[in-house]
Amino acid sequence: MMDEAAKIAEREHRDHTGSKMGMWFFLITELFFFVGPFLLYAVYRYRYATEFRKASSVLNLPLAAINTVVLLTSSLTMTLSISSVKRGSKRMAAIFLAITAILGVIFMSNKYVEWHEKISHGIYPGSQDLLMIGRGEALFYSLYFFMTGLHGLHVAGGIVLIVVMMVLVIKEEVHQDDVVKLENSGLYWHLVDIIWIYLFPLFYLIS
Amino acid sequence: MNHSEDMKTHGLTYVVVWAVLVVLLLFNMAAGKFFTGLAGLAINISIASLQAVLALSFFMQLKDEKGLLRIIVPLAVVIIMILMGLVFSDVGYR
Repeated sequence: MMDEAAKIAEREHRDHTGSKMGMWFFLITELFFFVGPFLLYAVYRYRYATEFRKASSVLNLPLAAINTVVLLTSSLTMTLSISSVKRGSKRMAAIFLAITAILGVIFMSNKYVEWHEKISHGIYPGSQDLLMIGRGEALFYSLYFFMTGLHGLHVAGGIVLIVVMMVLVIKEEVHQDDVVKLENSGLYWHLVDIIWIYLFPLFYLIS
Repeated sequence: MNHSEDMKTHGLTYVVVWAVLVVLLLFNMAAGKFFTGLAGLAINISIASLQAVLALSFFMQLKDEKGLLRIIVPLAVVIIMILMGLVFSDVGYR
């Protein structure tokens, strides 16, 4: 099986290692993309520790905790879909990818509920209420919307990618001998999960 | 161990890692209740980092990679820490 895969790779000019390395380099750039806002958060939390703690106390911790479990579970199902393709089980791979996408949609729905809660209380970037509360709290909420919004955009992109991969698996364009597209999609999704693993304690557990 | 059994073992490993990640999440939430200030922050970040290492090693299969791929992620983390250190060496004295 491995000899056959190697022959196909050579004939079709596939470079599995190169593809993976390219994806990892892209993920490193994504990591540094988030490092900027995390640095900003760190500096302002250092300066406004009390205000950050006060602002964090009104966030919806139970919903965020549920969202964290949802995202962790989606990482599991993503990994299991890759294992299923490697095992030659197209049906299970498609099912796991569908579950991953659904969990991503659940995450985004919960995020919508959370944001709606805040926005309906006048807490949103540029609102009069936000301008009237203290600088520290205003900075917290601004960072909250910016960083969770940026993360949410990445989740949305990831959901689209997962659906595309599901179609490719069903059409057998991703299969046992050529799984690198799905593996790279999985790497992206896990990075999105890891970013949330840090966002959650920094915004929700400081009060 | 044949290929099918190998895959089943991998599947079980992933489920165990997921369970550990969820347990670590619960620890993190509990730590947030009992520890405040710098100690709370240190514990939260440590637990989050442990979760990240598990996700990187098992879900992203970094532990099975060889050569350059194995070092670029730790290298990126070191660069991030240097960046943070340099920023706080400025901000901390203002």
